[in-house]
Amino acid sequence: MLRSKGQTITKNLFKLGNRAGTQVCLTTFMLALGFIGTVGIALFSVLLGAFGFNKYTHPKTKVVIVNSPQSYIEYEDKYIDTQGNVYHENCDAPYDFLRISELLKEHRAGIAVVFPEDFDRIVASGQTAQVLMYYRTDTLDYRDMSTNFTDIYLESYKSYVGARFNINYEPANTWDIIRDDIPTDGNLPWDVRFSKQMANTFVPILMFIAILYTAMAIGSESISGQKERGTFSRILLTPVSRKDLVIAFTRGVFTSAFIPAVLILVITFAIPYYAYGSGVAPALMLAFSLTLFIASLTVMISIMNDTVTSAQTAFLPIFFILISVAVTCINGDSEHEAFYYFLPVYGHFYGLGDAFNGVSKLPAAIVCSILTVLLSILMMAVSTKLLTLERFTVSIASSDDAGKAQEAPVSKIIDGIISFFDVIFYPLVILSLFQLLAMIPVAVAYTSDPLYSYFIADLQYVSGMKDIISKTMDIINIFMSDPRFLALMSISYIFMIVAFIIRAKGSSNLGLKPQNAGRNYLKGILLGTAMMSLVFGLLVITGRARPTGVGIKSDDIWLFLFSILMWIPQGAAEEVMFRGFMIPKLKKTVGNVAAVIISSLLFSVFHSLNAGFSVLALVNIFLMAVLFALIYEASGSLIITCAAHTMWNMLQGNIYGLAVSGNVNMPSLILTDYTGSAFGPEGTAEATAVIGLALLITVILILRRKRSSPKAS
Amino acid sequence: MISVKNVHKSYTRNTETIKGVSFEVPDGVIFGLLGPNGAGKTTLMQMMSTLLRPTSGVITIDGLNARDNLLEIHRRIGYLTTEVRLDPMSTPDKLWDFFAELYDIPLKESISRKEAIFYKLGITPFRNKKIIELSTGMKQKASIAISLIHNPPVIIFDEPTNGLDILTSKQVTDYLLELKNEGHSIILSTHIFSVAESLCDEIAILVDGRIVAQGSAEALSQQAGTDTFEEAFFKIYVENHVEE
Repeated sequence: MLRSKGQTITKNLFKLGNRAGTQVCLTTFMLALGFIGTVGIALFSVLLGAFGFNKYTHPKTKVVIVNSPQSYIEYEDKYIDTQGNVYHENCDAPYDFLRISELLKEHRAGIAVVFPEDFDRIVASGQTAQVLMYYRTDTLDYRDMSTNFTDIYLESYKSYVGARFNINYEPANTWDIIRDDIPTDGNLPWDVRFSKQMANTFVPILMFIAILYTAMAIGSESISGQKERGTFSRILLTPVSRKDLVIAFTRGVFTSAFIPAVLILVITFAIPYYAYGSGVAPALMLAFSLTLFIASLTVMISIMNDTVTSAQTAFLPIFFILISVAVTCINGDSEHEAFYYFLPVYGHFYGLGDAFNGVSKLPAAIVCSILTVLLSILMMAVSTKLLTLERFTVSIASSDDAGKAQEAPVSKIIDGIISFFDVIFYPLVILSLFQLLAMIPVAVAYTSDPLYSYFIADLQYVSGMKDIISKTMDIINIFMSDPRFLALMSISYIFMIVAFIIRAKGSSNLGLKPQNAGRNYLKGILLGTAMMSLVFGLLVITGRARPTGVGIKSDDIWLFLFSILMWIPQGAAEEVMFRGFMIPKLKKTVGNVAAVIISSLLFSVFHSLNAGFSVLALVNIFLMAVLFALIYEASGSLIITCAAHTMWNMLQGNIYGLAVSGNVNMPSLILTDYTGSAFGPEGTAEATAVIGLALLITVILILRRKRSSPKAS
Repeated sequence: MISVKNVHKSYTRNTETIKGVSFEVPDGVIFGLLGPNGAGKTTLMQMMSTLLRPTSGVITIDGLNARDNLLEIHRRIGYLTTEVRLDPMSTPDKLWDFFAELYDIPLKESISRKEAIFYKLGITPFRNKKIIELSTGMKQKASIAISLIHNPPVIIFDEPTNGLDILTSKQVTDYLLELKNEGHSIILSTHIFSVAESLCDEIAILVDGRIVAQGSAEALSQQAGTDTFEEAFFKIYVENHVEE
């Protein structure tokens, strides 16, 4: 019975043409916007790469010499300026790769030259000694490095050894240098290499896209399309259970998406390079489970949306996320952790590539497929549940009578709670979203940096909260010293401000009024400069800060410029978030005074996550927030505090060489020997004095103005 | 036979669209729901059709609770509303066959029923035309045919004659009377007093989510002390409607 009914619905699915919808729901629109933003940022990072910002090389060639013979030490003393980049170690097991690689890690070195323990004796006796050279394979740089080292140093050392032991110098019989690296496909013919590469990258991607596209086209049309046309309820009213409906829909989408998948499989396996019989079963299994997964996902999304367009826009980010996952699989295509083979999507990507290359892991494919099928069944169960909810089955807004039902005023308390969450969570979500977006390209570029592998390797020793915090600070310091990250942060701060403007329905609702904008910004610059300079002056007087010279090296000029630029949107974004957006919203629910106090407390707590935070810093930042809130309230313009905030941070970080909220890695105009709070000047009593003074002046000014013009208030 | 007992429905936390409605429609009776826009007619009918669930209260059809016997209820009700449309790219003929399969109607029976209903409602001339090409009246007739495909004992029609010309209207009302005589229980909502008066055995007047008066058209007129049913309706409405 299910069979015939299901088939009827499934058949019907195929007949449906493509009919565009009209509405785009807000959430999906925002998701799409977010995605476009990410792509934009990624493109930007590529652009930066074009200007040479993306080039990562290990700063110095560090070498570990193991079991250095006496002759080498003499040679080094005489001829090489090591600049502290050569380390000497002893190891009685020259073939123990693990021990050598630990030495490499210990010294953060790229190559290791391992001599036999009695090298001098062997050479002197005229025998051939074997020298081993190990190099790291994180990047291709080390391979070149080892070649250079061999060509420049070891060759001349050969001559030196020949002269010293007075042996008839003939390179071949002095010693062999065996270079050892992880085996690569380097010695395969180019066509085999190319086809392998294609099987690992292009074919699985093609399969992903084919399945995703077909599923999306059919799935969104079949359910959301029917909802949009108003024909869905009639199907819901037939004596077919919700479960059978979901199965029928999923099967319809599955069938239409499985056809191209199988087609790609057949064509691929027909190519001689990929004619591995052993790959057929795992490839089919993986294609089956992947299609089922995507089909059930599409059905679920379609059930949640009321129009074709909204379903497709909702599906778009998922489409790109899955494709991005697939693309990340392409990175590092040689060896993967076994664990990845069991994960849905990852397992599919790797498994398919391996199946085409005849090296498939059947048990992994089985486990991955079973996991994926279970996940699909779970999604189908969710879809069935969704179909029992009125929200997803009846468009209430369009039903004649209900639409006109009058809405009573919603209870004030609930309203208050909702808006309170809105005030706190919206800024946090926006902030973390945009910071995350800015990190992505830098993080991706960073993976090609050898430092990264040390960093990852070091993670295994992390134990306890303290380590986690220090590691996090490491990451932030690394990022903050990368001009790309600063540039991206600037852009994401601008996005953030735009997001708040959209949310607040207009920039003037955030206090960003165009009237007198230039003059107000200038006022803010003066205020910020005066305050920070006063703090710095006080710190110098009390002896906690001592200027020692000019801090910017020519290497850091980009970093300096980008950080200077970054403070402009950074200050503005924080002002918009904690003042312009929060205060008016809080005022409505908790009143004027409480609004200032709550927003300032949040501002303060928000900064407490940074390094070196202290109670004094909490108090100072709170006072600072109150000061800014008062200035905003009194002037009605957020532009003054935007500028003041920017100047405060810029001066302390990039001019006076102090820490900004715990960040110390800034290139700064003045090099300062600073012994105050690790958090920065906000952690000192000097800052309390200056902020307190400014607060006092502001309060007096406000009170005087109030008295002189009572009408205006 | 359908029975509605103390049914409430709220869409949002603080508004009640249906505020406790109870009535019963025995077999072979046409029951009319009359009320202004926003009174809750469609909501009530959507609940009877199982598309919406009551916030509280019980709806039973032939003694079966809609909550627990969804599929069995679906076999027993035919639901028609302007919101439930037909696939615009299909034809009445194809749609009939599609839904006949979903309702498990044997092929032979399905064909003979199709011919009979198509003939009776005058669908035969355009049975192979796409829905999108049909006029409002044609579409409505096709919708009626499809919603009666499984010969349901309970028929719930939301404004079946809405937008139809007098001739088509008559065809539809005649067919409804025929169904009534066959023993179906029929629930109608309508704005048209003449339809209510001539067709319905019993009329319930719905104002602000409550049934404020119930009885035959004559009884309601007498109760209100007016000459015509229309006047009675206005009087009852004014007496019971509360401006918010």
